[in-house]
Amino acid sequence: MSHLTQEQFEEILQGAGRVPEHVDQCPDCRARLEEKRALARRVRGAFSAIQAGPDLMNRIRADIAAEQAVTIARARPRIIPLRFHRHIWSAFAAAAVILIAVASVTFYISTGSQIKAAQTELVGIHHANLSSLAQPAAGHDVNELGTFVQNKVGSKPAMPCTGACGCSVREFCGRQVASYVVKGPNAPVSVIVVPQSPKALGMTPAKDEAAAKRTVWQAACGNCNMASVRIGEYSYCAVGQVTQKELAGVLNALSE
Amino acid sequence: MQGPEGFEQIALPHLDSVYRAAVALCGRSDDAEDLTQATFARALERFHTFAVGTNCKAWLFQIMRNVRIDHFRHRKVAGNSVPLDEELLPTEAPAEQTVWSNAEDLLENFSDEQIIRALKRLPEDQRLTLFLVDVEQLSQQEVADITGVAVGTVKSRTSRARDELKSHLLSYAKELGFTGRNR
Repeated sequence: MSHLTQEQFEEILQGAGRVPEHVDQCPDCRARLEEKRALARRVRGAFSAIQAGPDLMNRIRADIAAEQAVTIARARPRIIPLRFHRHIWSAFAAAAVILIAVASVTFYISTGSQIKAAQTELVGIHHANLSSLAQPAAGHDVNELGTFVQNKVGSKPAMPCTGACGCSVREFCGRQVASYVVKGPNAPVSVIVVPQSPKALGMTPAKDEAAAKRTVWQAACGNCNMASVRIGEYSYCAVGQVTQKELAGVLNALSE
Repeated sequence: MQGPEGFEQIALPHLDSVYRAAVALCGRSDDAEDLTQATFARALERFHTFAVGTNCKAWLFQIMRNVRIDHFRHRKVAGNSVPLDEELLPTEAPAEQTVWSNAEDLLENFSDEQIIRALKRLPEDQRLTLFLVDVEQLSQQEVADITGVAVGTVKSRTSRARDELKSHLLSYAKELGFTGRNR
């Protein structure tokens, strides 16, 4: 009576092979099989409680959002300058380039795909903010954060009195914009300050805004909600994986 | 469906499994997180090559293995010292053939961390194979595809991994004062 081979044990453990009658008659093989089963169960159990943390999830989501932004940017039509004779038309070419640039900025987010691109960029900024939340660009003091942003982009944005926990300067639609993170009751919210109007960003006015100080505009993109209010020359876009109500709460707390 | 949005829907639900595999390979450390992120970054880059409807988790494990191999290659080329851990050393043969009479009870004495630490002492190929077979419960054919070896090799590798893991746990058991009877 020959004992089971290691290969047979593995097939039985995989459920791929029938358990030979020999196992019933051989206490040694039976004990070995039980031991291997117990070991497999214990190894499985050792990993059962292990889960990826939210920080890792955010890092990967930021990578995906960045890739989304790149994909959409690649899909945008490129402006190809006309070629003129350098000596005769150089001045005219310069004027045309300026005209095209101004026109393209105005036209930038006027189509559906460009609106989508802009919203995706906002979500990408939010995920990038979450990734760097552990290393904020400045401290947690609101004035300190405001001064940091002012030094970077030239103007001090409206900020909440409390709850801001980090700020950064990001690129949005080809220009540097200020953004900061506010601790929400359920999840962090990024506030991104952009010159485009909420309407140009594809947002629609909220229906229930009785309690709001300003008109709140809303949209959703990917796994995030976004809301925006216009203060002065800027739109303050709150982005996060929270409800619209929470986003409106963050925007209502902004003090000019 | 093949863009980043499709990736988020199809690949991201396997994050926990990929992270667990990274823990099996690197232990509970920042390295496990970095390996997971690098795996997803490469998967995102190559998502256009993924055939929707096939086993995405197995595809991710395969990418993780390649990322890991590239990592070791890079370190070798860069001339960095590679730690002389178990994966580079010949493995010691199990000292004695024993069968634990009360394997279930005995194994419950070990914490999850001790089990993972003992697993980390196995050579890398055995460690990944045992993880895929026992924890992820993939078929031997799937494991063979992921690790790029024949099914027979998966069987022998799994068997050797079990013996070695048992040997390491036996050492722990002796230190802790509970051992099975010898046969």
